[in-house]
Amino acid sequence: MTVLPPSAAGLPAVLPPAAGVRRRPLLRALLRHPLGAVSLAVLAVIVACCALAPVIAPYPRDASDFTRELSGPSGAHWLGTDELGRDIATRLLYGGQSTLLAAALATVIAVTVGTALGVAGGYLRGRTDRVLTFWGDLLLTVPVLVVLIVVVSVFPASLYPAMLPLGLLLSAGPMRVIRAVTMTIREDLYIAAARVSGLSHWQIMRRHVLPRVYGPVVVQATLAASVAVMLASGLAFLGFGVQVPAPSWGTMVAEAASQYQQQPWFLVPTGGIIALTVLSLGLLGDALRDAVTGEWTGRTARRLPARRSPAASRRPGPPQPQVLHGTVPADPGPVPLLAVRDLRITAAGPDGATVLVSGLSFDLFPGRTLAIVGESGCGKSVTARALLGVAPPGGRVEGSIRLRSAPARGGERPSAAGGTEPAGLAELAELAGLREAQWQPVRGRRIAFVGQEPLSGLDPAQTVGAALSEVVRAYSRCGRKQARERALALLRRVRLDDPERVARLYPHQVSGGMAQRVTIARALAGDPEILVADEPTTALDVTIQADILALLRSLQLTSGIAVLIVTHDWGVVAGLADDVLVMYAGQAVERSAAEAVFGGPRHPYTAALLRSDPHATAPGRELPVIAGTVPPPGRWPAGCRFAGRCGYATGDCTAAEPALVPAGPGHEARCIHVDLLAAR
Amino acid sequence: MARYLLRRLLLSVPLLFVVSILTFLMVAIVPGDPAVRILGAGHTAAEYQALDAKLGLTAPLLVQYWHWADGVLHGTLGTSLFTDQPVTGELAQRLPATVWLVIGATLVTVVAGVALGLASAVWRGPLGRVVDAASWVAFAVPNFWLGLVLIEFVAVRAHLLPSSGFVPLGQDPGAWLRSLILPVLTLAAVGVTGIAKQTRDSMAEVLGREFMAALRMAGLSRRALLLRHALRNAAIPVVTAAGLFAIAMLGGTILVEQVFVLPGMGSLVVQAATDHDLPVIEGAVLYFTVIVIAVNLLIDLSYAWLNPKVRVTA
Amino acid sequence: MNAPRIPAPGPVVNNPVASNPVASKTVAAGPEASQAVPGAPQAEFLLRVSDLSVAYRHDGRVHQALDRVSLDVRAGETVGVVGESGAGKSTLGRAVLGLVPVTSGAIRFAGQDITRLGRRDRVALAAHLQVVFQDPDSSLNPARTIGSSLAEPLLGQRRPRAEAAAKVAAKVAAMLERVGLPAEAAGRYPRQFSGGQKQRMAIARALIVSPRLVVCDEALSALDLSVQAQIINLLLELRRDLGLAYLFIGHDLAVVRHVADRVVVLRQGRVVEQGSAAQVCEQPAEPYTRALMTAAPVPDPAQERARLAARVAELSAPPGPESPGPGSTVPGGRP
Repeated sequence: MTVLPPSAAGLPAVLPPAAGVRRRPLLRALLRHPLGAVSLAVLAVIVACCALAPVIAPYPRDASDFTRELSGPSGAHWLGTDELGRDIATRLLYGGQSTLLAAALATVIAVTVGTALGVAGGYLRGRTDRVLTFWGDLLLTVPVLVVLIVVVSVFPASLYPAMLPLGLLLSAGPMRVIRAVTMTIREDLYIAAARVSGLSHWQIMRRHVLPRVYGPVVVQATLAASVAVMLASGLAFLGFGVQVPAPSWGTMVAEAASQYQQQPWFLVPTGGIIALTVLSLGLLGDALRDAVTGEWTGRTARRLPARRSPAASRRPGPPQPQVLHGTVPADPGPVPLLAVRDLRITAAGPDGATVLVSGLSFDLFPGRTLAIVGESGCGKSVTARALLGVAPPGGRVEGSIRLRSAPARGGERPSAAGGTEPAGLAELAELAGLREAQWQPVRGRRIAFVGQEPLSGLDPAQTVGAALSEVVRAYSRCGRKQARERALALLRRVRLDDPERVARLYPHQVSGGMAQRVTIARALAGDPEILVADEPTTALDVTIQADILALLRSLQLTSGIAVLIVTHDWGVVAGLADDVLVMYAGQAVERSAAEAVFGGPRHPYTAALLRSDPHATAPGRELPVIAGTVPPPGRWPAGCRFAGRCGYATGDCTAAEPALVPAGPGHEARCIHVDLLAAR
Repeated sequence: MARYLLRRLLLSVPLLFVVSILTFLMVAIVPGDPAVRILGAGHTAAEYQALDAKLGLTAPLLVQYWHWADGVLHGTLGTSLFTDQPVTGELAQRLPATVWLVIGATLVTVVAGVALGLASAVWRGPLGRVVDAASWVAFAVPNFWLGLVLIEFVAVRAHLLPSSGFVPLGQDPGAWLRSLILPVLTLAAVGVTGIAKQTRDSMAEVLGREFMAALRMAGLSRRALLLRHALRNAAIPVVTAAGLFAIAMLGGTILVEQVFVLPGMGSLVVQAATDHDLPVIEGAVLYFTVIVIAVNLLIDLSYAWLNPKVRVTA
Repeated sequence: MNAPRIPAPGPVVNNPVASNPVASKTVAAGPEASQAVPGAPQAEFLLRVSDLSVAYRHDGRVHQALDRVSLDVRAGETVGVVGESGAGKSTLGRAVLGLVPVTSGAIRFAGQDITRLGRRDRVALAAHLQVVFQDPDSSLNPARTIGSSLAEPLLGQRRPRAEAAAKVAAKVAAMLERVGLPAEAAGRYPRQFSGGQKQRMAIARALIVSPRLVVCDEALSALDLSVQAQIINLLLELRRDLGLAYLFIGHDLAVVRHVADRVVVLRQGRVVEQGSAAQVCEQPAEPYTRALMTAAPVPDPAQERARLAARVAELSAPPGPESPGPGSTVPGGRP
């Protein structure tokens, strides 16, 4: 019965290469970041030189050379001399000792206190958290320098006593950040699992929370240190916390300030050393932040859609309208509303562009529904978005996407007229390669989009009514009042009770089902000919899903809209789809009318996927499974991409990439063994 | 809405109380005796005790604080131990320079920072890198040093603007403006670049959100996307940052006033701290705290305006 | 609402731990161990939840997440819990696991009251009651090795120090192989594995103490169809080999129907219906259960299109005294 090896584990025996022992992942990630590595080196040199001042300083600390007062840089005095003829380089080294030590003290206090309170508040929540948050807010509103001056006026002999309150005041920043990080960690399921295993709060904070906040703590430490260096110098500049002959960076700036008319140079090294130190700390913190987020989230920065969209570009060479890849539709038949040929989508990957979708072709017809089916990572959603001119971050859309030129308004039904329709794809306008601004008349007005997460598809700062009025006005340039009327009509059209009330609600006040109706209403606002729905019901409960599917179907019946639905749920396909396109690892593996796919799948992947649905097996019995997982983009095997998991695979399968071959009337499969499956 | 603001206002009462009592205790318990400083080196014990009693320094600390707090409620802040002038009068004299400095620097920070940040979010590439580099420089250069450099180049060498001093607005608006330009720029430097960076980061975050993709695919214009949707949603963290910068700049006035010799509250605090003039310190800290509370209320108001969740649930 | 007493279906393994070499190491005795001896009379319910209520305070309002819920799980039995979001499925699982405070009612495990356990008793209970959660990505701490995550349930148990490290390592290795992963995975970090592999690891962590009941909280929902089928098979196989009982929480009715012996239907914190899986899924007695069952799409074009057509016809019918559907309600607001 089982066609495919139902190996219990279903795992490739080979594991991805181990990343070795990650003892110091942060340091290593940092070293890959040139600016961060340089900053770290500069800081290390500054700290080491100041610490070794008695050994390496060219002159004694207070030695005066009255023959060379306020001299510029020279061979004897690299950085010149001050108003008493003392060597500036020497005094900067000694001055750094007190400044850096004071800053380090404040930093240690800030980070220790901030981390402890942040972890405690974020993990324990409740009253502890409320008290700590209030305390943190209080600290953030204190003008730091005013407080420090009060303290140093009390202990005028030294900077160190002021570093305790400074550390406490600065702890508010780390505390905030660490608390926020801890709060998200707290919701992680391994924390719940640890609690189920009876670990104490203390054990959980130590084992699970602390190792994960380590990165942010280091980042916060550099930021706190930079502020502390700045404030310690500022206090010294004002004359607080220093004993006269002993140098400090801030005092030296003050001395330079009093002499700048005679020797402006004096300002350069004194201010420069402070700036260099603070800059290094800041850049180090920035590099660390990148290293930390890269380490755990692997997220790359999103890009703004550029005005001159690099995302979509036309492939070189004129499109060849008459040549269809594969055989659907087999006869010249009705002209499609939208024709996609040889679609290729890439995204920015770690090593250049990664191909997400390749060689994809399909047609959409008015009044019909095409379902793209597949597991996650096979390229369904990027395909849906590509039809609206949106490429993945840093990626491109190549190939041909052609849309029927004359905007066919309203409920024009396609096939009946038959002969009057001019045949051929030449009539269609090419969309691939359009600039961002040129896409605008297509989006919403001719092709509309409904996404997966209804709530995150709405601007949180806009009421439902305002959101709908906005698109209505963007499409039709009508007045506010008219737009409002139209918005209410749209809400009625998607069967929302009491549209007046709904129009006044913000997204956070509506349920998922309502929100999805609103996004459908928004999609209908431009009276589009094509609706692209990307997993429109995946995030919804079954009863709401049933309502939304029925709504989509009834809208299609009344308006003759063409629907492209992306889904992983065979049940949704069964209900809605006229045609089915099965995707695996970035390409179409099977294409046909819906009944044919359910009745007799001709690609081993489709067959196996349908069989592994629990509906197909008696309860409690072992399910026929496909071993392994979908290979991620960039790791597609040569030849047939499914061969490694396929029960039919032979040596020929990996020799060359199979083409889509006819497997029946209007039915194609990308498999050299189509006939084997047909025989079953 | 009104309840929300009232609640935020009530939360600031403990702040006033905590800050004032901490300042009071800190200054009062420490070595360094105002009476000794006033009398100088050669004084008798009797003279000392008389002055101490006159200054009210013999009473227990709590009583001293009570006297002071009672005075605050009646609108007086005591008299300076040195000048014998009422503290309110001294502060009133010093307030304008500081307040104008902070208002000016905050305005420059927000307007220039958001504009720069927006520009660098929209035209990434060169401008983004310039903003980045400038923000690092501004972050690293101490403002007291930046002030000195500006004085050297703009005032001393180019004679474009005065190097020091403050002209009240009522006296000569032109001179008032000229006297404020350099200090305001010095004070705002960190903030402008900080806000620019914050604006850009938070714009980038919002532009990556799903609803922006949805609106883009709904065919809204780029202008509408950026200004009506992205900026508004990106504004909340920017406002938070602006509030924190405003408070930081309040402290920064102390250094800037010192550099530009402005007769503001900052220089008054420095003087009073050196002299142990408790009533003046207390009064100035009180004023600073009230300004902080005002800034926070403004921030809360903007949150309510920007974030429907705050507005609707409050 | 009492559970109809249905004899436990299928053969029940009397001594679950003895059959598996990995799990056969007798765990240190907790306080309740004497009561929960393996091989206790089968009439005994392993888990008995009676009149359980859980209420949250949210924005000053009290939200009743569970309202007098009662259900039983026998040794070796799989009880499925279904319902829509906000029905209280996950709250039920979390209450059993001691993760949310119970307002009223009682939870008994192998005869012992576990409604409000102290931490020490929780440690002892952990040897018998474990969990597999929904999201494999957040089920394992990315900053810890697989081995250290898997060993965690053993942490609380008292054992001689000397044998500890080596024994634990051996156990982890054996457990990994049991769920179909290579033993050397223990030294690696979670991000090197796929979602399905991580879910296997989460299952391994739950089983390392040889529990008698595993709460599966939407354990299959985040997985793709083909991987989901693999994990279903693994859970079925482990149940057969180890005599496990599952409290199987899920929203996918087909999956629950496939693995569960009995099914409990929840709606807005209350039990709507419970009974054998076949009866609840094929002949539901309650209208709500029926609505739920017909709403779930089936991969059969003829059947599914007929259902959809019927719903579309309902929609096009002139607006009458419509009952507000679930889609038009303001969210109940799960905290």
